Amino acid sequence: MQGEVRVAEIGIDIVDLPEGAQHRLAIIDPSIAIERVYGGFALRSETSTHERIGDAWLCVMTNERLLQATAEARRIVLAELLS
Amino acid sequence: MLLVGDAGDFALAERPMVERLCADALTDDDRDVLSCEGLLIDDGDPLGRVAYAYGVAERIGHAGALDYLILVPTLRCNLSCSYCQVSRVAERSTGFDWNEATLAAVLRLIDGLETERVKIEFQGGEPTLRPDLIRAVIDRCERIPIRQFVICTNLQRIDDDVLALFDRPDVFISTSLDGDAATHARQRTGDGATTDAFLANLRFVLDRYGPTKVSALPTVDPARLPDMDGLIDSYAAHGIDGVFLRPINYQGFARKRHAEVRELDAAWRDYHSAFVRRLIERNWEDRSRVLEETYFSICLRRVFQPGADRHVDLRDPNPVGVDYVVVDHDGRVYPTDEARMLTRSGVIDLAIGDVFDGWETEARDRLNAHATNRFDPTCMGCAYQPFCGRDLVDDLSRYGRIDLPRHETEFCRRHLAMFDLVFELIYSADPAVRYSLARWLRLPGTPTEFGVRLS
Amino acid sequence: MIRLTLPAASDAEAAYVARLNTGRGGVDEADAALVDEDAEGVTYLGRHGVLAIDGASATELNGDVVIVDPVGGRAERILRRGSGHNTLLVTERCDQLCLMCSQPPKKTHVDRFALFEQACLLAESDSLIGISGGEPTLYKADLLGMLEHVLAERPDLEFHVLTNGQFFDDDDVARLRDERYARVSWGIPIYAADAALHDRIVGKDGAFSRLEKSMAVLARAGARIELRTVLVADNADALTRLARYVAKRLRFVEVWSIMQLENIGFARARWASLFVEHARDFGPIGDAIDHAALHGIRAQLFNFPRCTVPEPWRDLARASISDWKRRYADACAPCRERDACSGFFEWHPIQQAEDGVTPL
Repeated sequence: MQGEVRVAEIGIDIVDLPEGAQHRLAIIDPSIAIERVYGGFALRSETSTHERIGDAWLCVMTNERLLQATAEARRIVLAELLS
Repeated sequence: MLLVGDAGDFALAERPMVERLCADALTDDDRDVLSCEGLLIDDGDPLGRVAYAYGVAERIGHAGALDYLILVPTLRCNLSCSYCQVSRVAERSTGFDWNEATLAAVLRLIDGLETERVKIEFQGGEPTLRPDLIRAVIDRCERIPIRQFVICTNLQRIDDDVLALFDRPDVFISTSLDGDAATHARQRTGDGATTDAFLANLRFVLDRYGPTKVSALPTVDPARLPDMDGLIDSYAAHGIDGVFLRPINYQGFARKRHAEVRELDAAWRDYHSAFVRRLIERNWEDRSRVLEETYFSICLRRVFQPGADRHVDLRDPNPVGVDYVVVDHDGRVYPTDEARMLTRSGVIDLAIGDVFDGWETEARDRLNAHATNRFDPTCMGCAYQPFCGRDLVDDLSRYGRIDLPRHETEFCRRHLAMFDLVFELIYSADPAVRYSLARWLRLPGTPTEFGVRLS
Repeated sequence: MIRLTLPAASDAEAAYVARLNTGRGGVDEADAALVDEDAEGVTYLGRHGVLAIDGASATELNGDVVIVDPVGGRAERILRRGSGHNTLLVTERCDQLCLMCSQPPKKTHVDRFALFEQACLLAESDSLIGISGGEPTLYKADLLGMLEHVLAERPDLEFHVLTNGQFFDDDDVARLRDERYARVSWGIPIYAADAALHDRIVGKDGAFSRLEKSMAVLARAGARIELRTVLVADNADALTRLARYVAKRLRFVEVWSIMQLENIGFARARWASLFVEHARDFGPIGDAIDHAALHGIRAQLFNFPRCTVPEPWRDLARASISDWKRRYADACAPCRERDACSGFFEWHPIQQAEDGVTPL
């Protein structure tokens, strides 16, 4: 309809965003805005679909967890290789 | 969703599995499947751990002893291309060739090379204006067992001295072919007679030596993108199957006439992708030849065959002034040809030394401390990190600095687009796509699939 | 077919090594020099006394390194001059029982490592010497000791050791990193990516798992590995899966040799149930090679006559059959690719060979 902008939104029920999450989300999809709302956060975009926002968020959170969980082991292997 | 490991192992996973991965709630089946794909290593799997370490090691670039030189014996040129990237000088100028001292220093440099193989590219200006200098260098390399020389020339004039050089089996010819005669004339040769002379000489060397000795590259104006089929046809007509698309970069003369190029990066990326898709169609229509776009093929091979290509613009780490350097007409040494051209245009001085006193300098070391993507916070979260690289000079040429967040650089945008296309094609079911991918990866047949889908 | 063992008479008390020499090029201490020749054979004289060998001429034997068994009345041509296919059989014992085994194992072992070491020291310069069995690493300490001693004195030689990879462990990593092992490559079979299938084919439970541990050791040691897979009916359809396994977990191998079956040993009795008619359907093999090549793994074909391999993969078919057991079909006479072709094994079913060729 004329004049209306469709905004997709998903709600995230967490208290605080992980440190790198906002930055990484911006890299994956610059159209997603993050806003603190009651109970958590809302991710909104005017150009990306609901599903796409969900996918982007899933990637960000998964990468956050994996990077932290594997950091030490990867550092050890790299150190061995470079020595 | 694409899962990629440090060693470049990859697989396509369904959303539910990624959700389990996110929640640290993988099932035993998940673990087996991921382990099979090299994306998970169990404690009781020493071979898995070794395989991972080996795979990571394969992804680490190795810049060894100096064995690749780009030499600019003269800045003089007999053409005046609109986008000239080298700030060339007119043919009759003086003081723009190697003098005696510079030649002697270059020959001393060659004497000091500690390598079994050497590759030397002659650039300019127009290097064939000084066949004597080319010959002096080639002769000095006689003691090195494996030699390859590339003469980058506009092929406007081939005299006896130049022909004698071309006839050598260790000499290869690289030239510019910007598309059909009209495009080529508009951007490079100007009038009909000059264009015809070039085309006649190109035909001459192709007939004399065949296409393996001659390569041609198009320089494409993003502000005036040529018709794809027209460009492809002009190459196919000459029997040249490899097209290395290069956009005009705003350096040297190019900067003065093409200030609007900065705004056209997105158009360029789209054109590049569309060009690759067009090649896929044409290869399927005509199986008698395999056309390829060189840079896309390099990116494709970076995914599957680490170490297959030695393309110094896409590797990680990518240090400067270690295994290859550029020696200018005045003896100054630059890390890349782009750096030389950029310095000439007066934006920033990227020389790292000169051929008289060497280049193991603080300037070089400062740059090299940042020559990898491995520890960059943005790259660490990027699925394409194992395949991508770092180009300090490209960042400097566009932004004057190397510390912009990666995803804000054109290098990143360009490679995100390239690898997005690579992986889209890897997972395509279209037989035409599979056929071209298999040819570009130099496979005997065509595999049933190029990438795994996890269920 | 070339005979490797000849009847011989010698007065020596124990087995010994000698290099046979016609005497024209000068004789050294380890040589036995030619003293007589007639229609039946040749006679040599060396530091172990007189040696008479029947059934060969001085020209044929010149330069050969032989092990003389006075008690058994034999001379074995261990290292034939000019041959690229000399192999030392260091034991006939084995801990596996492969379905297609070409050298069925025996329970007894005759320790000849000292003789083999002496023989290797006399080898022609720049030779490649094969080591086989049974399973050579059942005597790992003796084997590694012999390799190290020989390569210390003869750094020009190279060895290719066939082994099932069941006995390498972490302690070997440091030893195998020694620079002498740059001249040793290990030919190691793997039949499937699936442990149960591989174990069944090699006749030993746990073989696959143990092989993976050895591979980790060899990889850490920087060992040179030629991976070998014999094509049999049981693993033909799983070849692509194996290719993916190799591309994922065994990237450090130098080359992957896919081998056609040899009609000898256990394979002979089981020929009909094991042999894969690749000429009829090369698909699974081609696909496996393509998957390997996709990931930068170099594959090659052994014992595949070139005309039986479709053109895209034909150049991967090597002339792999040792000279002493190779022959061509009569139909091969006009073929222009004979020299590059493996031909057939001497004992390949004749009619199958004749029917199967198409001269190129």
